[in-house]
Amino acid sequence: MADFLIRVEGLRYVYGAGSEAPVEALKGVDLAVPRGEWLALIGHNGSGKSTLAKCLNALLLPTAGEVWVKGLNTRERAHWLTIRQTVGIVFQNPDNQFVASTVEEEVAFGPENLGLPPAVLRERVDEALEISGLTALRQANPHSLSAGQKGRLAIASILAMRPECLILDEATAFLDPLAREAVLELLGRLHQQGMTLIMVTHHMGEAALADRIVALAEGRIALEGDPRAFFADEAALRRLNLSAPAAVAVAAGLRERGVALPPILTERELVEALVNVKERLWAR
Amino acid sequence: MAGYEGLRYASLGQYIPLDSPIHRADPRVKLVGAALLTIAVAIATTYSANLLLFVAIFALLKWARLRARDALLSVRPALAFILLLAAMQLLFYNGPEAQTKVLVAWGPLRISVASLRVVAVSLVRFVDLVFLTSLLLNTTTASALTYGLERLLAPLDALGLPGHELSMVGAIALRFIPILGEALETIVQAQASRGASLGGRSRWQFLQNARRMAALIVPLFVEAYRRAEEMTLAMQARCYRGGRGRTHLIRYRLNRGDYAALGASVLLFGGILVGQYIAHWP
Repeated sequence: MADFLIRVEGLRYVYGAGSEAPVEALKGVDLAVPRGEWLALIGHNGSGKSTLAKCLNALLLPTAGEVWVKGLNTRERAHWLTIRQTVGIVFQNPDNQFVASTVEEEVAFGPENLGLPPAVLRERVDEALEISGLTALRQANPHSLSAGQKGRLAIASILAMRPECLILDEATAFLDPLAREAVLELLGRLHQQGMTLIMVTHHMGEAALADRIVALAEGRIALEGDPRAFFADEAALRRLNLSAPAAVAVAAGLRERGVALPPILTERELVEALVNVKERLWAR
Repeated sequence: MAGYEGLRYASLGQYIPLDSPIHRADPRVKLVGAALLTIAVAIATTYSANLLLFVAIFALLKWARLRARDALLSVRPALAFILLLAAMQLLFYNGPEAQTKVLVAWGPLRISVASLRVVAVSLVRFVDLVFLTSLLLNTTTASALTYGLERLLAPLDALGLPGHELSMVGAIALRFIPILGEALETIVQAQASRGASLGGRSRWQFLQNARRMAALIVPLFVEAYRRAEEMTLAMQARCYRGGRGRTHLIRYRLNRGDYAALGASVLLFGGILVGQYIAHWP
C-alpha cells in the first residue's frame, strides 16, 4: 500500500447535490497511482477527468467514496495542507492563476502560504526558476510573458512547493507546438527525477508519452493500460470515439496495405521501422 | 470600436518593471506618501499650492522613470467627461466670490475670476491624482502592495478588520484590469462580427452608448466570475489560507532613504497647510 501515492476508491462526485438538477460527474472511480508514475487521464469534455483531478488534492471532496494521498484521507480538513503540498495542480489558463505582478513573487506565492522563512523561500524560488528556465525573467510581469513561458511559470509556481505529484489539468491545451514541446521537455525531466505526473489531456500524442493511460467516459473508467496496449485496442478506441496518435494510425494503415511493421507508438519508432523496411527491400 | 481597442495596453494600475529609487522604496512609505499627497491635492485650492504640488509630483514621476504620457493615456476614456465637467464649472460656478470680478456674463452663464480658478485648479488636481496613482501602482508589485497595506492596517486587526484579506482583494482586483480588458475586447469583437454596431458614433450619445454598454457588461460580468472562480481554485491549490501564518519572500526594512522620503512628504503636506491657511498664498 505504501507505494501508492494516491488511492481512489468508489469515488462519486455530484455537482449541485440537493439542487433541482444535480449532475453526477463521477460515478464510481477506483484508481491507484504508484509513486513515480506518469499517468495520462483522457476523455471527452464532460467525461469527469477534470473533476477527478480536483478530487485528488482536496479541491473537491467526494460525494461518496474515498481519496487518500500518502495514506491521508482528503475528507479530513487537518490534512489539506499536507495533501495540497504533496499534490500540486496546474490549470489550463495561466492568466487566471497569476496572483503576483512579478515572475519571482508568483513563484513565491505557494511557499509563502506554507509560512516558510524568507531564506528558504529564496532558495525554493531560485530552484523552481532554474528548473523551468525562467531565471532571466524573474522581474518580468507574468502577464507580459509568452504563452509557453506562462505555462512554465504556472508549473514553476507549483514546483516551488516541492510537491511529490504534479497534476496538469489540460495545461498544454492552448499552447502552440513549440511551447508545448518546451513544457513536455520540462515534464520529462521532472519525471526522470522521480516526480509523479498526472496529465489530463485531449492530445493523444501527449498521452502516448505516459506510463499508463486511463480513459474516462461518462464518469467511469472505460479503458486503461500502458500506451501500447491502450492504442492497440482499436475496437475499444472506436467505441469510445477516441483516435490513436498519428504514428499509430499511420502504422495501422500501412499494415492494412500489407507492410509488416513491429508495434509502433511514437513518430520516432515509425521512422525507424520504415527505414528498416527500406533497407530490407534494398538488400534483396 | 476604437474606444475599446488597446484597453489591454493600458498601464492603469499595473506594475511596470523598471529600476528607480521609487521602485525600490518601501511599500509602506509609498502608501503613506501617496495618501499624504492625495490629501494635499484635495485641499489645495490656490494657484501657488497647486503649482508647488504639480512640480513635486511631476518630478517624482520623472524620478520613477515613468512617462507622463502613458499615465494620462490610461485615463483617456474619462477625458471627455472631465472636460465636460470643467466646461460646466466654468459657466455655472456659483461660489461665494463668483459674483465679484465677473469677466463675461450672458444670461445665467457667468465666467468670473473665481470660476476660472476653480477650473484651472480642478484640472491640475485631476492630472496630479492620475500621476500619483501611477507613481504608487506602476512602481509597486502586487505582493509589495499587499504587504504594505497589510502592515499599515495591522493596528486595526484588534477591531476585527481582516487587513491581509482586504489588501489581497485590492491587489488582485488591480491584476484583473488588463485581463478583463482583454476579455472585453474579445466580447466586443465577437459581437461586432455578428453585426452589432458598437462605437463609431459620437461618445456624447449617452443613451445609445449606455444601451450598447449593457450588452457588453453582462457577458463581461459572467466572464469575471468564471475567472475569479478559477483563480480561487488555483490559490487554494497552493495552500492559500488567508493571512494567517504567511511569510514574505522580500523582507522590507525601513532605511534612511525611506525615512527621508517620509519626512519630505510630511513637510510638503505641512507646507501646503501652512501656506494656504496661515500664510494665505495667492
